[in-house]
Order: sequence, then C-alpha cells, then structure tokens
Amino acid sequence: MLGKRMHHNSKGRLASKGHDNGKPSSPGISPYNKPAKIPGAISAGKTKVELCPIPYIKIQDNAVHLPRFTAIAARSADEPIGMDELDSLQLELESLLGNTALRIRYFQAEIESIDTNESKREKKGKAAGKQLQYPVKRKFPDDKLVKTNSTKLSNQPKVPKFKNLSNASSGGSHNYSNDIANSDNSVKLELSQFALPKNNIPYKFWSSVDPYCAPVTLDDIKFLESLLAQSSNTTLPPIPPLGRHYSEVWADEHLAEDQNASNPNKQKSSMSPEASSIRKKLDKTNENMITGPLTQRLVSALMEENLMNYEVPDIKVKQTTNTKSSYKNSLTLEKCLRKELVEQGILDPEDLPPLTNPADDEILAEIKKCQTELTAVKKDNCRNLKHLIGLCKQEMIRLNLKKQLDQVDMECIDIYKKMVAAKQKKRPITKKEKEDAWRAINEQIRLNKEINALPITGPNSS
Amino acid sequence: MPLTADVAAQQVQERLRSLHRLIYDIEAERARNEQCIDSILRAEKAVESPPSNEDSSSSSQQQMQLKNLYKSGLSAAEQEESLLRKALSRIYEIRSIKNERRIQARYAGNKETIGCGALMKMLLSAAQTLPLHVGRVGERAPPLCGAVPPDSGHVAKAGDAVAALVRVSEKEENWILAEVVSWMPAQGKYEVDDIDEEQKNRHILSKRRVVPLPLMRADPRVDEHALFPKGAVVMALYPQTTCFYRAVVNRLPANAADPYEVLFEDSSYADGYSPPERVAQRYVIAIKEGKGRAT
Repeated sequence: MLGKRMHHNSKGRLASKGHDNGKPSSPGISPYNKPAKIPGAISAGKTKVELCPIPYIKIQDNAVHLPRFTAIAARSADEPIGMDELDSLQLELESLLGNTALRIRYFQAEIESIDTNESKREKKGKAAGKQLQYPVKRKFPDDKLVKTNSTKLSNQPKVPKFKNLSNASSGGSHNYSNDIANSDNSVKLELSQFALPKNNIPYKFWSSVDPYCAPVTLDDIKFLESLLAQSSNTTLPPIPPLGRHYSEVWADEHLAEDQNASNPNKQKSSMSPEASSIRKKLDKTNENMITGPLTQRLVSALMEENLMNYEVPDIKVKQTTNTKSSYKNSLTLEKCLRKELVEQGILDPEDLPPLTNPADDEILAEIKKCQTELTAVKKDNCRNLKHLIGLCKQEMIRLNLKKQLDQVDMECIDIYKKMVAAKQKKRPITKKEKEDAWRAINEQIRLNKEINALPITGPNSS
Repeated sequence: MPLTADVAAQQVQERLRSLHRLIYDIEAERARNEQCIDSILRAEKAVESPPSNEDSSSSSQQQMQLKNLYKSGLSAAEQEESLLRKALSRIYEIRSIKNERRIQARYAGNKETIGCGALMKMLLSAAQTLPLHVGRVGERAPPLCGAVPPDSGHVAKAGDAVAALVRVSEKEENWILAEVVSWMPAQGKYEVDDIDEEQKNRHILSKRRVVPLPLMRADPRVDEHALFPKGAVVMALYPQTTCFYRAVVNRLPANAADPYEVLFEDSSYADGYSPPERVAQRYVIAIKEGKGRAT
C-alpha cells in the first residue's frame, strides 16, 4: 500500500511538496491539531464552574467561543461582512445551531418526562390502595429494598436526577463536548434503568426456598410445642340452645317495621315488646299447635265429627289460656296418646317412628357432624405435631453429631496436610502425630456410624 | 443564464447584508433565550431543593410550572434555531454562487493553476466549510449527509466532488478525488476532472466508477446515525494525497467540526494498519465492494 503511495508521490499525486520543502504555509503534519479552529470543543472551564444541563453558549462567553460572531454583531451595518470572515462565521453559527438543536431536544425530553411522571402518579394513586393490601407472606430484606427503590424512582421527579447524574459523571472535566456526551449517557442510563428492572427473581426464589432447607433449630421445636399446647387445650364451642324460629323472628321484625313506619318518632332499633304480643294474638287464631302425627289424626277425626267427648277439650282450654307452654303441651299430648295407644295394644311401639325432640333438627345434626369431624382433625393434628416434635428432636441430635463430625473432618484434613508437608520435607512423623491421626480417624468413623444408625428424618439426613 | 461577475458580486453583497441583519437578530434572540434558561435553571433548583417531595400537590404544581417554563424555552430555542438556519443558508448561498462562478470560469478556459500546498489547503477548507446538517427532531438525515448513501437515481452535478476509480497504469486502478465536469445521460457516464491540476487528465467513467462525496456534514451530537460506526470499513482520503484508500473507522468525530480518526490498511505495518489518521467527514465514503481494491 505504502509503496503505491510512494509511486504516486513520484508521479506527483502525493501532494507533499510543501511538506518536503518545509514551507510553513503548507498544512502541517495534521491540520486538525488547532483547537481554536474547532468551535464545538470549547474548553473554557473558568466560567463554567457550575455545569449546566441545558446546552447553550452564554452571552458572557461570546468573546471566548464566538469571536467572529461577536465582532460582527457589534459592528454597525455600514461595515459589511468580509468574505474572509465567512468561514469562521459559518463554523460559529453551526456550533450555535447544534447547541440550539440539542436544547430543543432537551426541552422536549423534559416536557415528556414531566408528562409521563404525571400520568404515572395518577396511576399510582389508583393502585396505591391495592398495593398496600398486597399480602406478603414472607418478608425478605432484599425484597423490601427493591420495593423502596422502585417507589423512590417513580416518586422522584426526573429532572433533578438527570442533573445529579450528569454532574456526578462529568466530575472535574470541563470539556464542553464531554459534558454533552455525559448528559447523553445519563439519559441512556436512566432509560436503561427504567427499561430493565434488576432481575432479582433467583434471589427471591432461593430466599423463599431457604426456610425449608435450613437446619432445624430449638426455636422450631418451641414453635411446634406451642402449637401442640394450643391445639390440645382448645375445646369445641358448646352448642347453643335452640332459639326462636326464624319465621317468628321475621314476623316480629315485620310488625316492628310497620309500627315504626306508622310512628316515625319511635326508634327503629328497639324491638317493641308490643309487636311480639300483637303477633302472638294474631297467631292464636291460625296457629296449628298440634305437632305429633297421632295428635293430628286425632284432631282431624274430632273435627270432622264435631265430637268433643275426650280429654282433648281440657287440653285445648289449656292451650288457649297458656300459649307459651302450648308447644310443650302438644308434645306431652302426643306422648300421652302414644302411651295410651300402645297400652291398648292398638299400636306396636316398634312401628312408631322415634319420638323426636323439636330441637333435634338437621342443623343440630350438622353441628354435631362438624364437631365430630373437628375432634378427629384435632386428634390427627396433635398426633402429627407430636410426631414432628419427635423428629425435630432426633434431627437436633443428628445436627449435633454432624457438627462434631465436621470438626473432626477438618481436623483430619489438617493432619493430612501436615503429614504431606512432613513427607515433602522428609521429616519423620512423630508418634504423637500418628496417635492424633488415628484418634481423629476413629472419631470420624464412630460419628459416621452413629449418624447412620439414626433413622432418616429430614432434608439433612444425607 | 450566465452568471456574470457583476451580477454575482451583487448577489453576494445582498446576501452579506441580509446575513448581517440576521446576526443582529440572532444576538437579540440569544439574550431572550438566556433569560428563559436562567429562569428554568432557577426553577429546577427550586424543584430540587425541597427536602421532602411527599407534598405531592405542591411538587406537581412545581412540575407544571417547570413544564410551562420548558415550553417557553422550547419556543425561544425554536425561534433562535430558525434564525440560525436562515443565516447559515445565506452563507451556503454565497458559497454556491462562488462555486458557480468558478465552474463558469473553468468552462471559459481560464483555469487558475494552484500549487500543491494551496490545493491541500483548499481541500481542507472545503471539508470544513461543507454545509452542516442539523436535523430537526424526528427528522432523518437526508441522502449524502455524512454516511447516508445517495438515492439510487442520484446524479452528481457539475462541480460536485467525487471519488473516481481511474486507471493509473497498465494494471493499476486507483480511487482519486475528482470533480464532475458533466454527466452524459446517453452513455450513463461521467466526465470528471482530476482535482490535482497537475495531472491535467480528464476521465470519462461509467457511473459505477464514480462515488459522490457527501454534500453535508452530520452533527455527531444530533445525527449520530448519519455517521459511519466505529469499526466500519470505508474509503478515506489519505492525508496529504488526493487518493482514497481502504480504512477502518477508529473513532467518530466528537463534534461537527471534528474529523474521523481512521486506520488505513497498510501491509507495511506489523498489524496491517497505519497509525490513526484524521480525515474529515467529506473525505470518508462508503466502500464499493469489489471495486475499491486496486489490482
């Protein structure tokens, strides 16, 4: 290649005559080494102690960065611009234009970032409630850290951050173009921070798995024991007595509402005793007090024939006089009838369905069923807990042994190293050293055997 | 229409006067811009200074205030930009008028002979005063700006600088710096003049053997995409010569007036590359594969 160039030189292609002659007028070794000719690389650091994020050339720096422009601007219009001034003026104007173009971009980016910040804040406001309620089962320190970081990032307005970064990164350098490049970099940095959140999923995963693989501690056993005490101490809640039937309650409520509607002064919450009494009066007329199947048959038979020869009228009188005990009475009537019929030999006691208590409804059955289930679960839990505690205790023993074994292992390795060193140095191994070694090895074997003899328990059983 | 010397001088004077007026305007506009920037800097500090930004209502208010300031700064900067563009276009007009005159003078036959040193100086100044393209936001650099290739149908005008692959000897071809004399559409060939007057050679070359040089510089701070990336293989004018050779871009220009730093392929060096050389944007062009290699 160079040969070719030399060839051209001989032909006159290589225009280095001036260079050969050493004429100072010819362009020197490199024409670009004149910093004054390069207007973009403004290196005046004195006036720019405080780095400005906005690209512009201060008017007070005119003389430094834009000498030709300043001179022309200061001249009157009578004094025209010379053709020889055009080149440097062009470069100065171009550097101004470049600055202005960058400034426009800066402003647009800032406006955009404010806009996006604004919309983000709005979104955040909506989502804040949800985020707070987000259930965090296990709190890991790094997890928290990330959260606070991210909130900081989004809370902070971008502007100061931009500045801080560019200030910090440009540090002592006062080179203008450097400055610009740095601020550009900081924009990129910022963007990348937003686009690529730190990937900490592996850490999260391992810290979530860690508790399952960690060695058992005394605290774990204590926790299990407290659980056991809790579950064996608790007794099932007693079944409350049967309350009033819902239809009665509702009817009372309806009446109370009606009353309240007609009498607005009355407080709504208080269920008036009048209401229930009114309802009961109403009930008397249509309520069927006859409960059992036998009583029903009897009453229907009597009603058809309009006969009142039996004791029934007595009972009926009772019923009307004492409404509160009507339920019980009807029950006793049913019992009496049943007894009478069986005694007379009309009915066989085995044919009859078992006498049921009115409180013995399906709800009670369900409660009882649940209670039996609960007790079974409780028993199972207690058994499992006891089993776990036993395993933990065993595991503790194993861990202790393991610790010892680890120590002995280390000892063995130390001794081995010593022996190798001794062999290399051709130093005879003392009897004491040999004894120590044997003791350590025997201890190792003993501990290993002990550990292997233990039943396998947990993840550390290997 | 022939451009006589008088007319040309008149046109140039007119543009110079307009340019002078524009410079006054620019100076006034810059003062206005500086005021805007000052108030923005103050507002930015105010936003920065409060120790807690929990008071979101006041901080958002500040943000809105800042946004308005940015908007006014933006419009002021746009105003300044348009004035600067106008002023620069006056300068470019003056240059094209002068170029026109030069071409006409050459047609007329009175070709001023310039020495080698002067030629090198001229080439350098031509590279430095090549119009600068400063793209508006979202605007792509146009063809023949920096590294952007020309349109497929592009035809270089008379007077345009090109790299031309010419046969310099029996079995040697070289990419030389040349100037278009004319385009012959019938043959699809260019008539080019060697830039080096001493050669006194006129070449007729097919379009494939002519690569137009960039007509505009790209501002690396604004249009970095319009520059060759680091490591790109290019053809670059070897300093102090008028020949293009294969080179690798070593460093991009830092600013609009800065040249590239390239490493020329040179088997006389141990690693096959010359030490870094500085070559202006105008003289760094895309390589024509297969043609760039001298036999």
